[in-house]
Amino acid sequence: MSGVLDGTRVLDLTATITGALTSLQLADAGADVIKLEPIAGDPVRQFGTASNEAGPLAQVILRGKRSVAIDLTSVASSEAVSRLLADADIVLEDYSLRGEEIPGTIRHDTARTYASGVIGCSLTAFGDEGPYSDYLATELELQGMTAHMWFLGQQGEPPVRCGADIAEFAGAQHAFLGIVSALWHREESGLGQRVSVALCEALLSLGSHWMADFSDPDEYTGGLTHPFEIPETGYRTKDKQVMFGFFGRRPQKTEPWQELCKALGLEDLLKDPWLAEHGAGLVGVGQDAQETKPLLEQAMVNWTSDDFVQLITDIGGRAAPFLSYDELYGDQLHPEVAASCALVEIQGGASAIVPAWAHDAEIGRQEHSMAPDIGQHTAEVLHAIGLSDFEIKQLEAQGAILLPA
Amino acid sequence: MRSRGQDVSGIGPLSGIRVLDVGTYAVGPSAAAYLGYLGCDVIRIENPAGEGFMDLDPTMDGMAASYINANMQKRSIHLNLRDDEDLRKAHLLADNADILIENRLPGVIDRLGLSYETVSASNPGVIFLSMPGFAPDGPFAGRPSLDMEMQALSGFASIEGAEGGPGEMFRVYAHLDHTTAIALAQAAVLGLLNRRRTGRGRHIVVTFMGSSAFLQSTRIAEYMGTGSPPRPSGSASPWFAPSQSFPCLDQVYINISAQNDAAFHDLCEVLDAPGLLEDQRFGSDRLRLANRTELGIAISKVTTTRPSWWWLRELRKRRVPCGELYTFESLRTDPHFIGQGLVREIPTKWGKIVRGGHPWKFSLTPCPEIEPAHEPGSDSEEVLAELRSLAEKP
Repeated sequence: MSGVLDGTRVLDLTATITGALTSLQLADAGADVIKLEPIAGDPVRQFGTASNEAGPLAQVILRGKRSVAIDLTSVASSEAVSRLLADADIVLEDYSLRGEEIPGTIRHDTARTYASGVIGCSLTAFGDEGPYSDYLATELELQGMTAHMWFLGQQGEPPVRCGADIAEFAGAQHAFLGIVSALWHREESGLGQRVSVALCEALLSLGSHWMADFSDPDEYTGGLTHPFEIPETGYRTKDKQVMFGFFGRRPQKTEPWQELCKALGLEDLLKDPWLAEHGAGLVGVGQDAQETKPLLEQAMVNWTSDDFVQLITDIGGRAAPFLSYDELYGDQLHPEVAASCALVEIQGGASAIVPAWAHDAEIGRQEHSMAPDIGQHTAEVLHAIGLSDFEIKQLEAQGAILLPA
Repeated sequence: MRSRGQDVSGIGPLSGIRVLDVGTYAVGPSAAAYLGYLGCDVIRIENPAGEGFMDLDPTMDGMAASYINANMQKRSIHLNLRDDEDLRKAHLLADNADILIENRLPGVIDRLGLSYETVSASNPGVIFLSMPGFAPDGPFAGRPSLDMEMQALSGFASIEGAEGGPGEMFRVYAHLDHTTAIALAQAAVLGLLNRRRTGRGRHIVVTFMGSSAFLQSTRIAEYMGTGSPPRPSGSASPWFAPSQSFPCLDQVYINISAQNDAAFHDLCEVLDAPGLLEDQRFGSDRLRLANRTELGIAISKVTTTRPSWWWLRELRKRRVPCGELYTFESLRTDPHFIGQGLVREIPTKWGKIVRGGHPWKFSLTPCPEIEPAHEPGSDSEEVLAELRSLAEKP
């Protein structure tokens, strides 16, 4: 019920989205994540808010963790930090990603503790070495420099980024996989180690499939691998955009095209012998589809997306409507979202999407707590590592920690 | 100095773990390949008749480039699961596996005689991973799912594209496929850790829909918190401003982001635009986000006065986040990406494949060097000989 990593202690020194997403997956697998947070709060708490409230993003990505508000550069806090490090199974940091120097005490202590079984994880943008290792980048720059923006938008028009945070997720998902793999190795050997993950490398590793496509192809085939086309915005129907296509071995069968033309009242097109033979390859997605798209869309105005999807499915193609967030994740949850268990209740009534394995009753944590307030757990965590009330009050008086009112 | 491109080949943190890949197309085989990169010994069962995935365009020397990429770091054995003798061999392989990965349509693996029930009956410690598109009890249960369908169905397409547009899909498909492959690999390792704790194997199901939703969980969180769905916003970030592409004098766009007051201050100094710093509309993180469009127009007026290389050089001196919009050709010739091994050329029997490196650098257990995909079925004899020697042991 408590997740496979129950009993594993994570010291989370991160202050970026990627760092938060990495420790979030550890928390969702049951680890006890202690977030060491600047006294002013992690900047991700403010992302995306045009008001003074803590953002909805923070409510979700900081959930399931405990917060200790502590000034890591203060001499007064160094003994407490050393004890926290000694107590941790996993230490997670992202100083390079934020363009900051790792505090000396932490660098020294983590190096010493790898040998005693600690797993350290470092997140960078472009790696530890090489000409770009000092470059700072956010989600946008990482998408751009890994060529992912090449596959969106249109030449001559303003660039488009992927709407999801694919670089940060690629980094966090690979970091999590690296950490649990190192944990497995520790189970076998008793040894800890450092695993570092560069966000752009994680995104490029995922992008290997399209790099392979461009490597040395037999032929120029355009179609699904061509970045110089107009955007794949789907086809307009009466109610919403729909994507469709006839995917299969070439040459395409001719029947689907004939069926489609008949259903849409475009029989005239069948008089063109070339179209009659190649039509199915000229609709749906890909560069060739652009020629017939206006004709089809004109004929599709009276079709609902449901009917059109059914038509394409019936004649041997594949089709899907562009579903909106309102339809999927709105007050009335889409039944597929409800069934796929991707969404869980957090204590306090909010909901959140968890990793795809987290619904498994033995693997994932089944009870989810809310995001902590800044420093909400400072006293309890410091008590647990042996600090007295007096020592804790002293640290507070020195400005080294924050105790919530 | 040793660059990452020449890392000594290691055995990886998961050395000693055996994986049986009975997957098809991209997701299952890619998950098995990721486990291979982490040190597992991966055996792939290939139908002697081949599969449709091998014919996907573009091809290299007749073999789909996607197939070559998804099947690195494994050995390949020909077995026809519809043949009783071959199915018996598949079960012997499954009996010796720690992890089995399959991503066929729901029910297919059962009909092929390699269900979790039959495999775990003789190998109760097996971590058996299935990846259906959708939940078994949901409205889409049993439906096949292509990456591009999932882009539409999971909401992924609705949140990107030109400002005010109807949404847009990635033209080069499979980002969701590979994200799901990573989730499967994660589940495999979590299953191993769970087996150590409980002494039992497990059947873990990861749905394509679930992993596609988790990839969007930041956007979904914002939506649930505010009630307003994210809209296609061109290159702009929903979190802070400026963070978007800006046009330059040489008619090239570059990306620039400034996520706090200090970075915005540095940006304005590089732009030599003190007026922006004094403008009340842009006086705080929140105001800049609220007035993102006006801010973008004001900055564009300055960036179009000088070429992209100038701005990148000056911004990088001040460590303001910025970057080029690369293409494939820029990646394969870039000194950092090539020099650090982030982009590599792997010779295969079908030709040279350009691909990413390993995203992890382990200090104690470095990953093995990437091993090119083998000719389908070419390890049949070797793997069967291993099986025979295992069977002869008491």
